[in-house]
Order: sequence, then structure tokens, then C-alpha cells
Amino acid sequence: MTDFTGLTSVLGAWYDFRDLNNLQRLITEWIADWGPDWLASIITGVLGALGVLGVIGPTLLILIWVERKVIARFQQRYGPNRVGPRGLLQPVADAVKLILKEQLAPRAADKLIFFLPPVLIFVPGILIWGVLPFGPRMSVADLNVGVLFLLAVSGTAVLVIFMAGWSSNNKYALFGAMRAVAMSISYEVPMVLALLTLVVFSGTMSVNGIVEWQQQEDVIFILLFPLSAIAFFFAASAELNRTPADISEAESEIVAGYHTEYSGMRFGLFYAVELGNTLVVSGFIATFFLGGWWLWGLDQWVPSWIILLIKTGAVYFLLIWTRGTLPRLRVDQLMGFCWKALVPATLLFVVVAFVQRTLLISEGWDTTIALPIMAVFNIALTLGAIMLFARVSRPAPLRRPARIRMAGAQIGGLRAAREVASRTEEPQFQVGGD
Amino acid sequence: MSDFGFHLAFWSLAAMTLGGASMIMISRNLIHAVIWLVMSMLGIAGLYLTLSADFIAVVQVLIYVGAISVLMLFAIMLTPRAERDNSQTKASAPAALVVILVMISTLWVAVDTDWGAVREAALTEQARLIGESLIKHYILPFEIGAVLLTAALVGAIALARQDDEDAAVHAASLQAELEGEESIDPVDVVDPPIVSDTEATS
Amino acid sequence: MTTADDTRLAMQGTIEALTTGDGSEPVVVNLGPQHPSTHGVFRLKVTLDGEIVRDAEMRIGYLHRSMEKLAEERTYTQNIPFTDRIDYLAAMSNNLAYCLAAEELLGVEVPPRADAIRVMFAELQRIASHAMANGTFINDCGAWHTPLFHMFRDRERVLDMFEMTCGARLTTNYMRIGGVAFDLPEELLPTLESFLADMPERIADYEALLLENEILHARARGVGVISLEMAINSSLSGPVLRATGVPWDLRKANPYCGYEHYEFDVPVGEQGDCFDRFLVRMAEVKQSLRILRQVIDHLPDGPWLADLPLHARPEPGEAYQRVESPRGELGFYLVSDGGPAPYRFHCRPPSLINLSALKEMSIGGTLADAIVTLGSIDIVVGEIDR
Repeated sequence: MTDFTGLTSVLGAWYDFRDLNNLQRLITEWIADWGPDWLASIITGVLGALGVLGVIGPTLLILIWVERKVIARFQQRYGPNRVGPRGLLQPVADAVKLILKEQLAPRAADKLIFFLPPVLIFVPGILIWGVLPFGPRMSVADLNVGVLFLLAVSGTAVLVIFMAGWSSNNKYALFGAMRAVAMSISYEVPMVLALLTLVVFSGTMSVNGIVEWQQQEDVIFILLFPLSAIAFFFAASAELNRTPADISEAESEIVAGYHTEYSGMRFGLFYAVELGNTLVVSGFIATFFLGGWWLWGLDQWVPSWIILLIKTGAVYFLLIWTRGTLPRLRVDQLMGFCWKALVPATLLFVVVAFVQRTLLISEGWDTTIALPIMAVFNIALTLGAIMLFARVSRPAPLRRPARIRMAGAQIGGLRAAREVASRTEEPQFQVGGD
Repeated sequence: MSDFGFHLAFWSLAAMTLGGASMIMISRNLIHAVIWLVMSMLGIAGLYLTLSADFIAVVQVLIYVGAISVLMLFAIMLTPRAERDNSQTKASAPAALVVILVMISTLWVAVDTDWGAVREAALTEQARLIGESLIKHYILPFEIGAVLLTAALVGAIALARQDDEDAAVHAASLQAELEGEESIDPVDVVDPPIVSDTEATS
Repeated sequence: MTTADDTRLAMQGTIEALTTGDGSEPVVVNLGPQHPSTHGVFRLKVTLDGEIVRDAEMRIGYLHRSMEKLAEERTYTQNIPFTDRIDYLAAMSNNLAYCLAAEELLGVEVPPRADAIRVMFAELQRIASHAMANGTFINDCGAWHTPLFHMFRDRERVLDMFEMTCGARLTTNYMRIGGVAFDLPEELLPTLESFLADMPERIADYEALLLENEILHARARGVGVISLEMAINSSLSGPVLRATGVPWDLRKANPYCGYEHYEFDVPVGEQGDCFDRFLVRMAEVKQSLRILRQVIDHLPDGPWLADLPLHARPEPGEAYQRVESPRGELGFYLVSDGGPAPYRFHCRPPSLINLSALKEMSIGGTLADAIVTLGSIDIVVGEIDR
């Protein structure tokens, strides 16, 4: 018989029965009593995946509603409010509609490669959840190379997007795919460098290890490395195809980008994975930079996953906010921003992290004093870097202010235009410029 | 882990790797070949995992699946006449010969080598160990690799960079050609012209 | 060899001829006729070298409804609803331009109250149209509908006032030859007062939200530039012309409906880029509010429609009248042969002529720039194709 007291053996807290690893170990031991080992591995693996899916599925449906509602509020609208109480069933209705819709495929599409992406895109979308720690021991797989795993898995999604765009045999789709690939390859660099800062400073590549480091040192990484946090946030929103970086599915330019030709639930799957990725990336931003499941001891009283979800929600709201308010950057501007601003800045902070880590470890500086000083120094450096960038990077047309003059008495053609332009007094209306 | 689970994983991953590899040879379409290559790479990453080499497995996915294959796809896309399939190449016979020779020599080595089974438990902190050995013991090769990559990066930028003058010339020539040519609408041209009944019967 | 093979070979030849020295070949992309940002059924055929536009060709006519020909079979009054549907985003201005031309042909004197009401609705229409133009322009820059929806609130209020007055929101059919169809309803002036009271705050909101937005600057500044000389030579008009610095506004240059009595300024830009067009429209909304204030303050009493038979038969002759519509110089040319219907009915649509500069503006920029430029010209396809 299995000892169910093992469920609460890790922390001794009342909520500990939610601890996935305990549950997994318990089931493993229980099956090992009567069955072969491999069965235990398979069953716990399947249970973990089902658990993650069981969390993601309903969450996505709610998130669609949340995102639409919040965006609607930004736009002075009500948002969905017809289906179900306060429109909560709208995503369900949409899903049913998408499932019932005919799934068209272009005649000239590459059939095999066209059918695969909506399914394959789910693989990285689900796998990436595996290393997100919801609690001290509450992740499906607490790999000691978790950060690398995260990057590797998110990198494979590019391939699927490329397959989708290429096989559709549609110019918009191909443009979208090319843009998506070029952009994710570029933005992976600042992403890796931003995470490298944390890895260097905390000395671990395990996602949970990074949270535990923050817990141990009583500091969250956004205070220590704000620029890495900003760079990671921007790079993540670029990889997620959200404005201001949604060029790979820019509606006003290339219709829907790589999934232009997908209809019905095939499109729905892309949409769902995109939303799920947004959520999991918010979760990782919360984990890496906001302390994850830890919140200055509050995690002793409140289940850790609730803390993580609240932080995730905050980051997610920030992503919706940027989407609701900002226009989109152009492809070349986006790439230029990545290579000319984010990469040098994050690289600078990797060096800073190396130096500060050396000071802490080799020189043995006292962390309680050194960390606040380093935080202040890094915040000042971040502000300086941003201001320097804002000053140096502006292209020529933006340096001049845009002026609107009032024509006054001069009305007419070329001569009047020259007279108005040659007036010396200040224009009535002036925007921008250095 | 019991033998059955290990064998299940090993054989299915081996089938995936080899199946992908043979599909690369069979498929006529270059893009398909790259997709099969990716499958093969993923199988290899899985095999690394069965050997408890987490770090190498993850790096395999990160570099080969996430980067190299995308690079290949880009190369194919940016190559003129990328739709050309495998059957057109004239070098297939000598290539087959070379591949067979390589395969024979690899198999020879594989069979000939005395594979000593490792009795120790797998290392857990591989990333740390690899990092330490790279920094401490193999610092010179590591640095040489870094310099080589930097040089490659600079070279790539130098090659890809289009001088403003070149760009202007390029744009001008394209413009001239566009204006010189009668603008033909592909949509209009592809549709066969309507043949009137009299012409069709005559 | 079949004909299809022939044509296919010809196409191959074209593509190979276009192939440049480095082995790359331009891609022809059809933006439209069904495309999210072509503002109707308009097709822009761009030849792309990577993301750079090397050639742009405008294909129009998908919305052609043969209005000019149909109008020759209907009486002068019956033709007014057609003008609503020419530029469906500025129906009042189109009504006005047509009625002015017909009045000149018939020699009708318009009562002063009608003139004031016409000015009022033409300016309200300008506010509504510019709200739409600027909103969709920022949408084309990639914003996720937020500025558009905010600006739609103002447009909604204007359309409510239209509905209050003439029962229709979009295709108003309000102006008549010799005046307007109905007098102002009682509740209009208070509504308009509250609208005028709210608008400055709204405009300040938009300016705070948009004018210093760095991304908007990056997307619109120095994009779609057209020079002053080129703009005049292309016979551009409206905000697109004024953004280049030419102070040309028909309300000042050739006043109609008593515009000479109102005080307002003509805002002009400097660079002639997309951002200047946007700014000029923002500034024009403020001037429209100024005019509206003066119209309310000096609204004359009296009849609102001249006494005129419904089936007026003008003397043989011709008339051309033009107004400053939100999109530019909108003219109607009418020829009468003495019958109850015009012998010739011609419209000079500002969108069509402004659009002709798109090729000049977009070549050399990126695909995204071409979209932004198209948005900044503010076309209405109903007006282009008629």
C-alpha cells in the first residue's frame, strides 16, 4: 500500500498536495510495486502532459476572452458580451465555429507540408511548459539545462512557421514566413544574451535554480538587470508576433502572414498556440525577472502557483497593453533595433554580470551590501544606455521637427508656398525633432 | 530504467533517425529533404537523451534543428531554381559511390572498435563540467573557435553588405528593365486567350 | 505547341529579363482587390525586390457603377443621391458640389440660411472624414484599431447629427438644388454645442496619444515624400497637396457658400511626407471647429430652400463648380441641352488624382511604406471608380 503522507513531505505546507513531482514520485512507486518501470515512466509522463494540457486548454479559452475584453476597453468598446454571462462563452462559440468551418487547402499547396504545421506547432507550444516552475518542486521536468531547453524548443517553432508559409504557395504567406524566420533568428540573440546575464549571475541553468537564487538573495532580477528584462520582454514580444513587432503577420501589409491560407480549425490551432505561447512567455518573464513563484515570503502562506499566475497576469496585461496602443515597426527598423541596440546593450550587461559575479564570488563581497549597490549602478547604466540610444539612433528624417504653418493671407500655388516657407516666425505647430 | 523502456526508446529513435535519413535520399524535393533531415536530427537528439547527455541533446536541438536547418532552408530559398529536384543532378552516380565508401569505412570502424561499456553512473552536472573544461583545459581551441566565428561573421557582413553605390546601380538597372519591358501581368498571361469557335474548328 | 505554352514561355522570358545580375528576381505582389488595407476594392500591383518597391501599378475599376452615364437619364434632383455614393465618406461635400454646379446652370439664388447650413454640414463632414482618414492611416501603420475606434467616437457623433437632420447617416442626400432639404431640427444646435465643447479635449487626447509616438514617427516621417513641384504638376489637391507646403484651399482661393465671411486658417506642412499629411488633417479638424463656432454664432433666419420647380429645365449651357472636399478639389461639370436631365455629368474626383502620385511616392520605399503611403493619401474607391 502506498503511503499517502508522502504527499506533504516536501514543505509541510497545506497546499503541498499540488506538488507535481511528489505526485509523480508517488505514482511511480505505486506502479513499481506491481508493474514494470517503463510503465511508470510512461504513465507519469502522460499524466504530466495531460495536467499541463488541462491547465492550458481552459486558460486559453479564458485568455481569449480576457484579451478581447481588455483590448475592447482600450478602444472604448464593450467587447464580447452576448454569448454566455458577460460574453464568457464567446471563445467557445468561436472554437465551435472554427471546428465546423471547411478547411480549405490551396490547390497548388505542398500537401504534406501544408497539413503538418498546425499540428507540429503544438509540440514546442506544449513542451515549453515543461520547464516552467509553478512552485519549488512543481514543474513537469526541472532540467538542469532548463534555460537552454527553453531556447531550443522555442527555436524549433521557426521551422514550423517556415513550413506553413512555404507550403501555402502564397506570396503573402512566404513573405510572412521569411520575415518570421529572419526575425526570430535575430531576436534569439538578445534573448539568449539577456538570459545569459541571469545564468552567469546566478550560476545555474536550471529555471527553478534561478528562482531559488532570487529567493535566497531576496532580490528580483528586474532590479539587478533591468535592461536584460526590457530586452527579453521586447525580444519575446517579437518572437510572439505581437505589436509593435508583429511584422510576420502584419494585417495591413501581408494579410495574415504565414497562416494566410489556413482556414477553420487549422487557423484556430495556430491562434491557440500563439496565445498559449504568449501566456508561457509571460510566465517565463515573471519567473526569470520577477521572482517566479516566490514573493518575499508570501509563498509560505499562499500557494506558489497563485503567486506565479498573478505575476504572469501582470506581464500578460503589459503585452496586451503594448498591443493595444502601439503601431508596428517596419522590418528593417525592427532588425536594426535588434542588432544595433538590443544586442550591444545585452552584451554589455553580460560583461557587467561577469564582473559583478566575480566581485561577489572571488572577492567575497557581502551580498547584503553589494547587491543594492549593484542594482543602483545597473539601473543607472540602463537609463544611460536607453538615453544614449534615443539620442544616437534617430534616423535623419526624425531629427527635424515636423512643422505645420498657417498660410494666413497667402493662398495660391508655388509662389505662395515659397512665401509661406520663407517666413521666419515660429510655426504654429511643431512636433518631434531633437 | 529497465531494459524494455530503454530499448523501446532506442529502437523507435533509431528508426526515426534512419527513416528520416533515408527519406532525405528518397525525396525529390529539396525542402522536403530538409524537413526529413530535421526529423533525423531530432532522433539523434533523442538518442543523446537516452545516453543521459542532456546538454548535448538540448544543444543538438538548439543548433541543428533551430538554426542549421533554417539556414539550409534559407539557402535553398535564396538559390535560383530552387524548385529543381534531385533527379536532375548529373553527379548522382559518383556521389553514391562516395557515400557507399564512407558508409563502409564507418561501419568498419564501428565493428572493429572495442566499445567498452561505461560502468559509472551518468554525470549530472554536465553543463557545468563542459563549461569548466572549456574554460580551463581547452581555452585555446575555444578561443580559436570564437575568433574563427567572429571572422566568419565579419566576412558574411562584408559579403552581404551592398554599397550604396551598388544599390543605386542595381535599382537603376532594374528600373530601366521594368520600364523598357512591356509590363506583363502574370495573371493575365497565364490564362490562355479565349479562342473563338471559328478558330477552334478551323 | 499550344497557346498556353506560348504564353507561359513569354512570361518566363519576362521574368528572366527582369532577373538582375546577382541572380535575384523581383516578385510581383498583388495588393488587392481583396486586401485589408486597400480601403475598398482597389488593386495595387507592386514589383518587389526583397522588401523594396521597384514598381507600383494601380489597377482601378472594380467599383465602377457607371454613375456618370446613369446620371444622364435622370433629372437634376434625382441625381443628388448618386453623389452620396460617389464618395460615401463625405456625402455632404459631394451633395454640395453637385448642387452648386446645378445651381450655376439654373441660375438659382440660394437663401443665406441654406448657405450657413451647408457650410455647417460640409465642415461636420470634414471632421468625420478626417477622423476616419487619420484612424485608418494609423491602422495602416500597424496600430491595432485603437486610434481608429477612438476617432470613430467623434465620427459617430457627427453621423448622429446627420441622422437627426436628414434621417440618414452615410448617404445623406440632404442638399437640394437651391438650398437644403430640411431646416435644422430643434435638438441639433444643442447637440452641436456640446460636440464643439467636447472636441478640443478629444483632440488634445489624440495629440497626446499620437503626435509624440516614436514608432509612428519612425513609420511615417520621411515616408511617401512628394516634392512641392511634383505635387503641383500632378495636380494633387487637399491635404496631400497642403502637406507639401502649398497653401491651396478652395474655401479661400475660390470661396463658395459664403466661406469668405468666416475666419479660419489653412494649415500647410513642410516635408510632404505621410506624417505631414496626418498633421495637416489634425490641424484642419481644429479649423473646422472654428468655422462651426462662427456658423452657429451667426446663423441667419429665413427660408432654407429656394423656390424651384422639381423638374427644372436649365437653359442649354455648361457649368463647373468645385469645392474643397475633405480629400481635395471636388468638381462637378454639367452640360445641359435644355432637357430635364443633364446632357453630360462629370465628376472630378480628388481621390483618383491624388492616387496618381502613389507610384511616385512609393517607389524606392518598402512594401510597408507603400501601405502607409496609400493610407495617408486617404482614397475612397467609390470616388475613384464612380
